[in-house]
Amino acid sequence: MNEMSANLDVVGHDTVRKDAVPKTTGAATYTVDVSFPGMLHAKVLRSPHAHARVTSIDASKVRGMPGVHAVVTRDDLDGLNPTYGYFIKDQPIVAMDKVRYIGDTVAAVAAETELQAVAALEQITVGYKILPTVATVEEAMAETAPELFEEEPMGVVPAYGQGASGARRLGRNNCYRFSYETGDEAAFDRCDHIFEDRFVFSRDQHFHLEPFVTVARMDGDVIEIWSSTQNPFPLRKELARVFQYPENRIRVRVPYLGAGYGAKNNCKTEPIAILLARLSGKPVRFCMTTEENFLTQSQHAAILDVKTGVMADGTFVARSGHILLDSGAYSDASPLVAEKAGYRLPGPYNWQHLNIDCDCILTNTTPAGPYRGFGGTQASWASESQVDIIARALGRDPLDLRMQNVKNLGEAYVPGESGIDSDLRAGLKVVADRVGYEARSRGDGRGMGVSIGFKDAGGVNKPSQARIRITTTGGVYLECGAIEIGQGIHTAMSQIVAELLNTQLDRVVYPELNTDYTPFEQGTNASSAIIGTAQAVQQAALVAKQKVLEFAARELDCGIDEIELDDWSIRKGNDAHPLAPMIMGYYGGTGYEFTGAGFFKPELDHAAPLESQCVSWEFGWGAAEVEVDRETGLIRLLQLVVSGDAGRAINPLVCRGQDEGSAVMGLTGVLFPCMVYDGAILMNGNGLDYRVPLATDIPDGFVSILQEQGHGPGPFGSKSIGEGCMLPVASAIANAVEDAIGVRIRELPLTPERVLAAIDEACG
Amino acid sequence: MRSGDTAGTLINLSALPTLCGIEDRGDFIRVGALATHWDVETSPLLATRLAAFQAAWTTIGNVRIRMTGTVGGNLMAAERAYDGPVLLGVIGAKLIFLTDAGEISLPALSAHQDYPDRALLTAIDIPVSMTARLSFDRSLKPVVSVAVGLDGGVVSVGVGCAHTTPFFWLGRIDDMEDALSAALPDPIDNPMGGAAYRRRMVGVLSRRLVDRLRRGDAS
Repeated sequence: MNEMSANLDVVGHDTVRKDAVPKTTGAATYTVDVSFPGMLHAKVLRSPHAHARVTSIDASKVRGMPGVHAVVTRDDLDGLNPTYGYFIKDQPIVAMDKVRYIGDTVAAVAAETELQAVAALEQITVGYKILPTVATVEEAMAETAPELFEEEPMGVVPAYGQGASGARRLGRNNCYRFSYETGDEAAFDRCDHIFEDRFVFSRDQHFHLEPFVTVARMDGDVIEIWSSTQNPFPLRKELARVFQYPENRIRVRVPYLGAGYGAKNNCKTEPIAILLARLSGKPVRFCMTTEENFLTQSQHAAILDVKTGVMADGTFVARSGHILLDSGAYSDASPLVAEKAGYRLPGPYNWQHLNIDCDCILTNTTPAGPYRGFGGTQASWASESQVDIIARALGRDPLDLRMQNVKNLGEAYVPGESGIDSDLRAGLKVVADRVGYEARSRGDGRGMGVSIGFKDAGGVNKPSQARIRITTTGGVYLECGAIEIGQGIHTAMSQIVAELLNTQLDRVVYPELNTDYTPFEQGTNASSAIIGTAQAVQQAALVAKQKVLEFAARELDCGIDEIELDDWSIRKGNDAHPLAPMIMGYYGGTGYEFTGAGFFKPELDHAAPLESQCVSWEFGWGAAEVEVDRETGLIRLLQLVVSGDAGRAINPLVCRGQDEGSAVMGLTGVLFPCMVYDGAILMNGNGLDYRVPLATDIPDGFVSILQEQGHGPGPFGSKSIGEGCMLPVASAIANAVEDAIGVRIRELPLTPERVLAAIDEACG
Repeated sequence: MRSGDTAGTLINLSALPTLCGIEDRGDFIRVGALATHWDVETSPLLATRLAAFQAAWTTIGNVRIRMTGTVGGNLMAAERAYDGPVLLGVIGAKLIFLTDAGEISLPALSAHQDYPDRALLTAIDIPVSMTARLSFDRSLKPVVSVAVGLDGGVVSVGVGCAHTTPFFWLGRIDDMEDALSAALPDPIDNPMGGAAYRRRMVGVLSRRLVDRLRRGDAS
């Protein structure tokens, strides 16, 4: 299975993370730590109503209150493009005509203390005309449902390739539809069996430890912000549009990020912090509370109807699907999530026909946006659950049925798409063997299930640049836009560069991201850094290395193929020639820097459904063993075995951390209540009531197995690892539950009450 | 306070050592209101004299509460999902308050219904019994948690999370199933957990806990 390159000096080793010491000693600086003398604090007034027309706002009492320096209401947006979003610009900085969910931003205040700001908010008078609400997608799609947007907001539908399309406003509160179709629909007619199932996916919150936070100030005519963001360059572009300001007069700086899991893309705290800083002339810090995080961004709840046709021998033939994503009150990244949820619903299997629609439905709830897995979690839940349903109906073992139908290594995912770059059967066997699937004993409420979590990796048409600078004495600046968000990318990138330059790891430094200097990067998301950005870094390092070797060859009067770079010396035969004196001899005593630039972007390709082929495919193989309490419905997780394919692990320990972290995150939506709404009211939107998995929730039988199959597109054959292992968790557990008690549960989370109800129903 | 509430005067009580200790008072153990959860979890005295209570106590609260939270602070915060009152009520603990009229003692199983005005919780007295046993199940939190105390033929049941405040029932073990069901007020019915499910689980868990105690299993 593993066809690895020869042993390497730095890559492939569990080196200590470059951020280990600062983070464990408290020395690391996050945006929440950024402070300036005279800095003001922002607080926002939030809507108490899920849907209402704003009839009046009076903030006159606030101006002049002690410590208050600036106030923003809808009356302070002159000269701005006051709405933002990804494809659709529908979310206002503060409410203009309406509020659309409980927690929608109505006004903002900057004061010398947070208490003063909170006190000032209480003096703002808002008139509301209450409107009917739609709290679920079913309510929102009803013919008589009130529309969150009576008029179509500004937006675009991007170009798609073969078989894919997008559309807007196809029904009430439907802000976007992604569709994909290939093959002949008549394939269904040839099937021996048709399976139609509805699956329901729950809604998690990202629960990043560092809240949404921005510090903004005016530096002359430059808007300068420190922000906890995953995509500073697109953010800069969006802020330039919102503020009608030159992009190169906006500076975004990103210190360490206290996690994001997708939430920290695009505008969050930034517009309000900037507006208040401009109005007050002082630095302004806008740091949300945990409760406000819940009111700002969530995962998409989803309803997935899946129809699958198969032959009597178990061969998969055709699949159609209709996914409804609960987008919350604003479109945010819903159209992008719809693309990926719809595109990934087929799973990594062979099909003759596919026809999938994914609709984004607006509701009067917290806006939903990017979340680790990005639609793949929802799709894997439905797809991998139905594979087991099919297997049991056909009297087949679910593992065998997967082995029969999965795509082969190198096989194109769909027409025009790139090939699958992992051996799926080998990966599945790893977890099945480890969990003891074949020899499992059933009874006493115990059972096992397997699943293949699946997504593409690398985003869509995602460009990255990188630059390597090497000083006279061999110090290396690694400059790229991949943000250290906890995933260990600073370490991994540094290991790649150290390996390529044949130098020591501690010679490589990774400067803080600053959009004025850092090479462009579309964002730290989509599991793209190691397969996209790292290719740009690799190219930059090799260009710089080539310049060094050409210089040295010229100085040593020899051919470039006669020398090697070795720890900032030139090795020629048995002789070592230190580079520093050689450089100063030629460039002068003040020294010099060698530089290399790198670039990576997938080619545009209209034959590819998403207009460029996916860079890579990310998998998480999962196997679970459960014990179900038939009297309470409680699921006891006995074993959870997950495995991802790192291609070639740049730092195996870091990769395992990603696999294990994502798998545990995947448990949130399965075994815990998630975000619970009572109508449009969020019941558990705080750190006390919202339950995330704790160390004590992790079973002794939790195991991660890192595979290195060697087929990745990244440097040294590396592949993405950040999201895969959360994808199979829900379906593996649900499949194990059915294996244990013969009851299929199609709705998440698998709360004891829901499981018991299913048991009751099965018992008649 | 994060939402803007302010206090005119703050008094730091942590300098009062008498509020912090865990003392053997013969028939009962006195736990100071400023004793932390961690103090209770690790007290050699409790390990010796109230082992089942201590074992159950180690399971409640999140890690922040377990490491640093005080018993008194958490009792008075009265969060609905906090199981401290459930355990203390079932084993017959008393809450000791200092009031303008002097020290008063209130049963833990009812004190939460009407905390005295202008009072400071100073201690919790936990009775030590050679015959009483305790068992606790919080596996279905945040929907319901149940603690059961058994002393001879008398059973006490504490129910947490299912109502706005803990519910307690005392009676004969032989009558428990029907009498408990009859006495149990309608539980909360909301998307976090249905009333019917909560009620059913009170029956299941209390029966299991009694069976466990009868078999002699530890908490």
